[in-house]
Amino acid sequence: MAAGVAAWLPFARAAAIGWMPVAGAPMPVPPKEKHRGTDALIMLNVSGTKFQTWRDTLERYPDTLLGSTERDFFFHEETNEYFFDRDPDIFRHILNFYRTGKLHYPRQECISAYDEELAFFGIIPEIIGDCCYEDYKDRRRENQERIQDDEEMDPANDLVAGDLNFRETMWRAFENPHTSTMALVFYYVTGFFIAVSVMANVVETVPCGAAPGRVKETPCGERYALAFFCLDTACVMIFTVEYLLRLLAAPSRWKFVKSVMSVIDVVAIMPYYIGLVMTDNEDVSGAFVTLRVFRVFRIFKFSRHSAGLRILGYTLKSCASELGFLLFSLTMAIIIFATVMFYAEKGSSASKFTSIPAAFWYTIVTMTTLGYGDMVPKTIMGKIFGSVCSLSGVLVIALPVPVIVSNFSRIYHQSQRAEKRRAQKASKEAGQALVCKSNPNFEVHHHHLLNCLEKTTNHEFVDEKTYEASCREVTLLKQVSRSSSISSSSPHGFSSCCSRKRRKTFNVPNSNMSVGLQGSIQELSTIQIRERPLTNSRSSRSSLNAKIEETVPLNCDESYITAAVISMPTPPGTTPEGDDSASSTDYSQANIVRVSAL
Amino acid sequence: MKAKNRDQSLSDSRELDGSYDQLTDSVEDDFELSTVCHRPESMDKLQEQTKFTKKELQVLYRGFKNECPSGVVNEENFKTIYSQFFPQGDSSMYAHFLFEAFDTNKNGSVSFEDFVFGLSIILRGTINDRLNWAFNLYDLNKDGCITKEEMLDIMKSIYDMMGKYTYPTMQDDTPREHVESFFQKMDRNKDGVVTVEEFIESCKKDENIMQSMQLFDNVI
Repeated sequence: MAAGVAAWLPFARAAAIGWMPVAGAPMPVPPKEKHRGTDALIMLNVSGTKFQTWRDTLERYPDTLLGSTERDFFFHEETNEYFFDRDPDIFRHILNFYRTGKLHYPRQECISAYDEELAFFGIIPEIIGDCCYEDYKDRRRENQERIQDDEEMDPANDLVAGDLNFRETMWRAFENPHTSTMALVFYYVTGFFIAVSVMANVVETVPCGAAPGRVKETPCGERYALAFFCLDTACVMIFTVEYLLRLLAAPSRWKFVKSVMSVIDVVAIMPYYIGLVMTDNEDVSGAFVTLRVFRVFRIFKFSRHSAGLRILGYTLKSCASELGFLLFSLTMAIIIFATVMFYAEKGSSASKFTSIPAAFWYTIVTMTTLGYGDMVPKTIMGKIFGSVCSLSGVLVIALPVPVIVSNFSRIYHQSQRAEKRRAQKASKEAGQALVCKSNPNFEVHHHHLLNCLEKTTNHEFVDEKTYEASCREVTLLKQVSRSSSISSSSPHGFSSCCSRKRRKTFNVPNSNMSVGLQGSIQELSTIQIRERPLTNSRSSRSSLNAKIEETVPLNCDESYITAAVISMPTPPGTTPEGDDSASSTDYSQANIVRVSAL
Repeated sequence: MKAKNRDQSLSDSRELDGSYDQLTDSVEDDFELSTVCHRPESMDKLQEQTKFTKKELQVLYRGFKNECPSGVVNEENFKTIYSQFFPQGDSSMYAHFLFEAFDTNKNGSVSFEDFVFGLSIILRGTINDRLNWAFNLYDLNKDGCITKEEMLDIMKSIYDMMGKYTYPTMQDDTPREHVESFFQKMDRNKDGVVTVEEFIESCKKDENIMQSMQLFDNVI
């Protein structure tokens, strides 16, 4: 509740006059007014700059230094003011927090100085208002990163190798090659072999001149098959060893296996093993050749070595929807123009536009302004539409690209900000929960006000769980036939409660059930009293109420009866007054406890 | 009127400008500065007209001005403030009735004077004054008598403030039954309406109500 609204409490209490004539029961006694002296001005001297405010303003937040008795430690007798040897500029904002309920972060202040002042005055930064919160968190994060960077640069901060076990050392070596020379060597060796492997794949297909005794030129791969095979084997050996070592060192093996890099590794080395396993069968050799294509994926292993590649991959992934849209619009345009060209060129003889799919190629080549010239329209209509196609091609291609670029930039920054805000929100809410316990004086009067409302309407505030529990009990009650006597219904009532709550406390022997109404109420009241000291929890209270509801004869369907049993201190004269008044105040106490949980 | 003129001149200048772009319609068009600022009468006058002391008036005004810097409360604001005291239920209807009761000159806003006059009656008035004020609150159309429908509206609004989670569970006809018992008590001549005399007489006879009225003696 906003602190300022506390000032309207007298109004809210006055407005309760509307309930008085309507209420069936008398209103509860108002809490005693702690009559303090008239509202006093407090002088605050912060390093020479004088601030003044009402005492009430400061005491809105009793959880902070200025709002609690902690400020007495700073009271300066000679000058009759509170002296703080702190920064007056920042103090201005802190004092404004008391006045307006919102804490702001001034941009020109240093973040660590501000944090220190907040900590000194006992204010949690999470209550910074929405207007300044993002800025504050950003600055704070930058500051943390700066501190972290400083720490990392610090050579004295290197962990002694002996602190980590072998597995962790290996993992660190893999992830950060510059931590040790062994790691660096490993890094360069694997990089070298990736390059070699990729080069070998490429060179394999270059024609190497005719083999002796043959006319046709053969690719190098076939001519020096053995050499290439040995090279391939060596590379795959190295990659396999590397993969197994990473798998071994990974702190979370499952996470490692799922990661993209590991998949790339596997895909890169699989073709070799599959090739080994497969026999020299003519049928499968075609499939095998296809598999060898996957060897080119080894080039992606470079992304471990290059941060730029990783960023590119991430950007493509984040831009997927825009790229998808581009593809979709292109496809639409291609289909339209291919159809048009096909029908336009249908008349011409010896036309290359044999079918619409055949015309796709023409459309793509024209729209991307490549213009190979292997397919050209010959009819007038075809030429007209062809020119339209090439013009629109420029538009269709050129338009989405800047959109994608700007979209990418926007999405990238947005996702960063959204993640930032998500991360901040959790801590912000956690902080809010700890923040400002409100003024106890206000709370007492507020509870009394809610109490009056309860009395007026003869209903009580409960929380959600208790409400649902009571709903369940009501349906349970409806199942029990009311016409049967108390004695038969009571065991039901008791058993249903007993099954839920501690059986031990309800050891009412069945013989007592046969007693008439008065007796059962007496039992009730005594049980009521007995229950009280044992538990004070909400749920047991509701079960207690449920008991009363179920067993008291509800021949008059008014809810007032239930209320009457609870609130009025005189049940059918069997139990002593003192106990029940105690129990009724206990109820009201429980009331207050519950209400404060709102 | 002023705001409209401003908007008109703004759009005129834009069209002449030629650079006006409908796509970049800025938010500033909708932003109307509320230049309403109401100052209450002097404290001396208010002190004469109400039964509050100077200090009490000061405290009240400070609280009032804090929540409503412009010096008047409109109904929305009023409802928001009141709803903060009853987080579990819906207090908007009751706040509406309160607003009607406080807004004595029916101009749609409650100024500090209205506020303080009302509070003076409730907190510092005689029993008759208070009961009169309560009657005024209930009499929605201000015709001098409370009908069952009016009372039902009031009752429903009070019960709405309790919200859903109550014990015992709120039945649909609880307000109506309450109204019936109220009328039984208040309506002496059983003519279906409660006049102000019946109301005051019945309230004075009821001990509970008299006792509750004492509550307001030391609210401030």
